[in-house]
Amino acid sequence: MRGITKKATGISRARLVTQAAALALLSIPFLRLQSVCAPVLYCHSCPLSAMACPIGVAVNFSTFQVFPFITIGILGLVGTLGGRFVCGWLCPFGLIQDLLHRIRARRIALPRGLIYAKYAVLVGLVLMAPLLLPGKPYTFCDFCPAGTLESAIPWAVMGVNTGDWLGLSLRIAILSGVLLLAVAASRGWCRVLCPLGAMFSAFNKFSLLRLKATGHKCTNCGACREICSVGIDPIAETNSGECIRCLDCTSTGHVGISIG
Amino acid sequence: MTLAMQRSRILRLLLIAACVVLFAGAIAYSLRSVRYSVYGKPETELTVTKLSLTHRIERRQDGKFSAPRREQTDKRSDKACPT
Repeated sequence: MRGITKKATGISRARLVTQAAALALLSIPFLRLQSVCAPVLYCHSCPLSAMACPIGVAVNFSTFQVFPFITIGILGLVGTLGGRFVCGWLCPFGLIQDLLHRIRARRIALPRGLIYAKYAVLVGLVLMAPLLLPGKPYTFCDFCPAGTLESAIPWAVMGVNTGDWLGLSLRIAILSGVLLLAVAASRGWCRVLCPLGAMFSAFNKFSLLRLKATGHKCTNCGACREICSVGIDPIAETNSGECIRCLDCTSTGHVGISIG
Repeated sequence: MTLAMQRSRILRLLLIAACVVLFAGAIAYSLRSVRYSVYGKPETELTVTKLSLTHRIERRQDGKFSAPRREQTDKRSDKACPT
């Protein structure tokens, strides 16, 4: 078990470096790629952001009643190739959650049924609310904790008007709840509420990059379950829609990476 | 690898190929053919995306894009507006 933990720490460290590199790359505003979305939750209103947020674009295009071909194309290609790999290795909001989860605190187990909430968020707040209530402040972006952290708070600090204080207070309350959830439950936001995760989870079952349980090596030791950052059993639920492909479970030797 | 596993792998690879063609096709189609009338000029989806981030456009009843009735953005920059 000690060897497994050591290997898992190595993978987590590599992941942290990759996430930090992705954040640095996405924070070069002079790249001026804001007409193209990055396949991660990184608000395009952030003063540093170099690319558009796919959820923000989806919300805007739903308001316009226009189909976002390029955004769907990018998300579809990324999902087909890697499933939720970007959630585990590239998403800046995932990085924040991973760092917060390192804080020693009481952990909670999330009820299994909550994982379906993210599909409701995707359909309700990203697709339907902007379509049915255009111009009203009930879309996903009006509650998005990533948007609050990366955009609303920085702009408010810089003295730019970010709307009414009641709205900002509500957003900060939601952000606080999500950050506390990240401390108590690993990747709580990604598992329960992230609409981008909901989109990518559909691809996990058949994506090119996948995990392979090597059943003959399984000794039922439970190490994979213990290590898993999203609380699934990687042997029984290999390539589940919840798996963020963090690859921590591969350190046990009972789960391998497979391409094709 | 059993025959059933081989078959499911082939099906999966076919599905991946179909998805790649579909999504790459969606991007190519948009870049090549999709144009929206913005301020009376035909513009690509990329332009509409960029303008939408800065809330510089809204869609009228006739489907065309125009400047919003109430200007919401900081005119000094093309940076996405604070949400």
